[in-house]
Amino acid sequence: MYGGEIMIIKDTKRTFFAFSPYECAAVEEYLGQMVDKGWLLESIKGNFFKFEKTDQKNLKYSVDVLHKVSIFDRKDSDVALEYREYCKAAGWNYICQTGKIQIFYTHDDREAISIHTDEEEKFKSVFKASIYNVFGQFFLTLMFIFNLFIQLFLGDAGFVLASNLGILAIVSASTVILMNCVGFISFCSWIIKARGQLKRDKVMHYNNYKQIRMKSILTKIFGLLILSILLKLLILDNINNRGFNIYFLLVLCIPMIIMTYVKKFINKKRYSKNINMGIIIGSVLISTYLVIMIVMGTVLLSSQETPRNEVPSEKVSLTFRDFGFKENNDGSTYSMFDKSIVAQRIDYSSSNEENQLTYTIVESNSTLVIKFYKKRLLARLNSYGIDLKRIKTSLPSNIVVYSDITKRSFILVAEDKVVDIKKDFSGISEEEFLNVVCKKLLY
Amino acid sequence: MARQQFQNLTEPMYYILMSLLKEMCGVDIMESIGGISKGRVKVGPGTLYALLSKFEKEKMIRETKVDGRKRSYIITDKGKGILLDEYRRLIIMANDGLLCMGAKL
Repeated sequence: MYGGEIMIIKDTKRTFFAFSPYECAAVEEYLGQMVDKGWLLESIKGNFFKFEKTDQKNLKYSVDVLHKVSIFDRKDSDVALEYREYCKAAGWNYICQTGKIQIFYTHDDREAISIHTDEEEKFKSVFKASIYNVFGQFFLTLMFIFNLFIQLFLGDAGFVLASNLGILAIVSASTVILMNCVGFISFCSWIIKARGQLKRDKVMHYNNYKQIRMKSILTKIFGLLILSILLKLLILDNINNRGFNIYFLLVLCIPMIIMTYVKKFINKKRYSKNINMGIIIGSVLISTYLVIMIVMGTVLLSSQETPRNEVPSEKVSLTFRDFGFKENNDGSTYSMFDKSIVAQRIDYSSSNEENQLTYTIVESNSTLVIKFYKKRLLARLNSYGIDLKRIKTSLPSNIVVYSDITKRSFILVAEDKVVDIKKDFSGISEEEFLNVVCKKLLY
Repeated sequence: MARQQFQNLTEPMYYILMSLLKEMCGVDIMESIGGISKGRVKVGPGTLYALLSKFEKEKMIRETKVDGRKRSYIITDKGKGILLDEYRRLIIMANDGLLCMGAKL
């Protein structure tokens, strides 16, 4: 069954169940099913539900939304405690809270008054509690779309495609975008349906368990995908990258660790809402500043300390020497290599006083990746004013070649490789140059 | 604004305001409504809590005392005016109904 069962230890069971305030009826349905199976809800932390074995049957849950509870309120705030007294007087026993959600239960045989007896008021409460989440998700979605656009369409897509960290970022961002879009559509459809029902003086419908289950299956699939890429990143990546990847992920954990401790501190100290607001905003600013400073510091240090020519020599099959030039050891020759689960990339550059050779190879078994990279590369270079046009060559027909007017910049596209090469030297014909490149890099 | 919003009081609003003609706390209001309506009207704690906040914000009721987490309220003159308007509207509606349907009832 769904509920995202995580583990069962003796008489305790933990499950994963992600929901929004407007899906409260689906949670009630889920909790009801769990009681029928002998599990009583004990607490909720984030999206993780903890159940205890119970013999009690015929329990009725109420998953209630108290929109007056703010994100700056501590757990068990005065507002929440006062509200629970009202519910207790009406026959509802409090179980736990998570954010704006308060969960109560009553025995089926008792005649407890429903927590909400006015559908219009309940709609307003649920709407207010959900709208901030939805706006937050909407804003986050826009940020992720912008980020994806920059990484894949404005910048050099080869960097992202050939880095597991880049792939992880793309998959995570796409997941967030997709899930938030599903959530946003689901919320809008709920509003339309609920308003329609209220106009006809009928009971509002909330998303049921079946609907939320579909959404959660999607979340789980994407979660597993992200986890598998993460494991690949941490365990199987090459040694140089692995250290950097672990370090980078640990840095990203800093805000989460800080915020967890801040939340615990706030719950313990019971300050006023305004003081809590100051503490939370301050912590967010400090953790953001820390992450930015650490990342910037690392980038600066690594750019000074990273030794050049760290690519295994067998990876660099075409060098300056192949055209009769000598490679200098003064730092003017460098090569870089990166590999991800979908592509690998080699960058090479070498120059002397008057001549220069620079190239980038992106290689992938996926035709889709090659096609995408080729399209983005041509679009990017053309946007810089390099007018690349397809040219006829004596190379095999499966190799497509693009060149600029000056015949210095070439792009060679094979089934599994895209080579972006620039030569700044003379003494070799175009045909001869392309034959050497093709022989060394494409075969 | 408040007059416009509360021009026609809903049943829970009407009974909550009536209960607050006498000072009482939230939990007692639920019992009071049951008493006044002889059990016909039931106002859930969630609805009551939301409406009390709304009434207080619109100055239709005011907080009188806080005893621990128990807060007591009483209706204000503004609240009384709105309640009275609703009462008169209901009387007019009932009389109109009597005139039109009296013979047929």
